[in-house]
Amino acid sequence: MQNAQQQLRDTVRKLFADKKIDVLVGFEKGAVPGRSRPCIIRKAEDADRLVWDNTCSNNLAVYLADFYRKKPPPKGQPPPPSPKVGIVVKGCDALSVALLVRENQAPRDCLVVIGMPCQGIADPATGQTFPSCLACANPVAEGTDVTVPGESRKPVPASYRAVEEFEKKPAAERWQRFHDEIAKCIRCYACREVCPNCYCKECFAEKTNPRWIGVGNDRSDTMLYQLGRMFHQAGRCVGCDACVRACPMGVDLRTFTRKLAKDAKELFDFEIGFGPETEALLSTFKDADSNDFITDPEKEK
Amino acid sequence: MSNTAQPETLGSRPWEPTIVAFLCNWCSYAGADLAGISRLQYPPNARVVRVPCSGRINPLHILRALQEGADGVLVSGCHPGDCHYISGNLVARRKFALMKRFIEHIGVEPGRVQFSWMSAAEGPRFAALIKQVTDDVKQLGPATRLVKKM
Ligand code: SF4
Ligand code: SF4
Ligand code: FES
Repeated sequence: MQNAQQQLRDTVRKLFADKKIDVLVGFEKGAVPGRSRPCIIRKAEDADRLVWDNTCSNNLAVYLADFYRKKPPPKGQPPPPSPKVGIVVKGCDALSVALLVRENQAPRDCLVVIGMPCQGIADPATGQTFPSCLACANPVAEGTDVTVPGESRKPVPASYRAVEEFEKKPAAERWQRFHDEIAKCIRCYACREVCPNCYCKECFAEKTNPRWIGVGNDRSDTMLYQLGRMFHQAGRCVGCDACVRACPMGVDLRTFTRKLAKDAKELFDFEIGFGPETEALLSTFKDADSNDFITDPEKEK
Repeated sequence: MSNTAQPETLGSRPWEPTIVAFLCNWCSYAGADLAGISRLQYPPNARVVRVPCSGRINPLHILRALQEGADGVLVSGCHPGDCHYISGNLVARRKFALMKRFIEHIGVEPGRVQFSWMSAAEGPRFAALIKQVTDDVKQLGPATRLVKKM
């Protein structure tokens, strides 16, 4: 990894020197041991600040959309050109970058995607690699412009075992689990803030007209926030777990987010991918899509 | 007429479910109309919300209905292939299929939220649908999950 870090610094220095990028999103040493923090650098000299190791946990794609948000130019001036952004990615981050490109949140030709070798991220509390990283289906970034050589984890085929086990429980028990998980949530919205997919300028959670979510502390409002947010990730969640790691209350909704991924696979044979050919799950359809769930009063139950 | 007696009569009546029915303007809503003008009898439990197309339904509409105390939610649109906007219901169908499984996964009882296709010509079938959904929800009893307490 030491080697990869050095190569990353060299690559970035060269990209700046060649004027291929105006700004780079990467990691630097954090203030707390065992953690790195995201950093944005704008000149070649700063490349030496960059860090690459198993503490680089954030999904950096979260910063991307902001660079390309249309802001009104100063009076009488033409809009500034889109910046050329370099971004350091793991496999999961690369999936997010691809998603943002597909959803027109970042122009692909303005990006320089730097793929890094990833061995999994270590939990700062224990030093152990996160279980979700051990089960990662996409540890090797694809569709990158530059690849820093090094050894990545071997991909593990996607498994939904935890979801399947949960499905077998009676409804009342599932409800209790959902309820208890939500009961921990203080609605700080950190999960939304760290998610690269959550780039809406105005989130339904804060809309006042219509007001979808009450501002009080009734639990049903928290549930609606979480259900709404999870559903907005259907066919979009890349499974990077940034939301789980960001949560100060230890809310873990993966049995539910993964359920959406599992059903998307089961019902529509859909899996999120690196390529531009991955379709938007909920804005496409097939004539043969599942119709079994439809209530038909003429059909014998 | 004095309505002071009303609460008592209400109180002594057995519980009846409230069902919020989102009906697409072009088919299901017209189907409901046909059932009405044909003077078909069906349970009065459905509260109809007319929507321009089943594609208009946002999962939050369904969740909000449950939160505000609906015991059941029905969403009905044109038959696949008959949508006034060509493919609104086909796009919606994916959303509905995922949504139904998702809310059952968190523990909301199967049957609380139902989806169907209904054409403008199907008056009797519409009446049968409302009867069936009402019966299903009656069996489940009053909704408690996702309901706002305050
Ligand atoms: S919902 Fe969570 S796991 Fe999914 S892409 Fe967003 S941050 Fe990553
Ligand atoms: S980060 Fe955790 S506590 Fe904050 S809103 Fe998300 S789930 Fe709730
Ligand atoms: S117009 Fe009826 S479902 Fe689209």
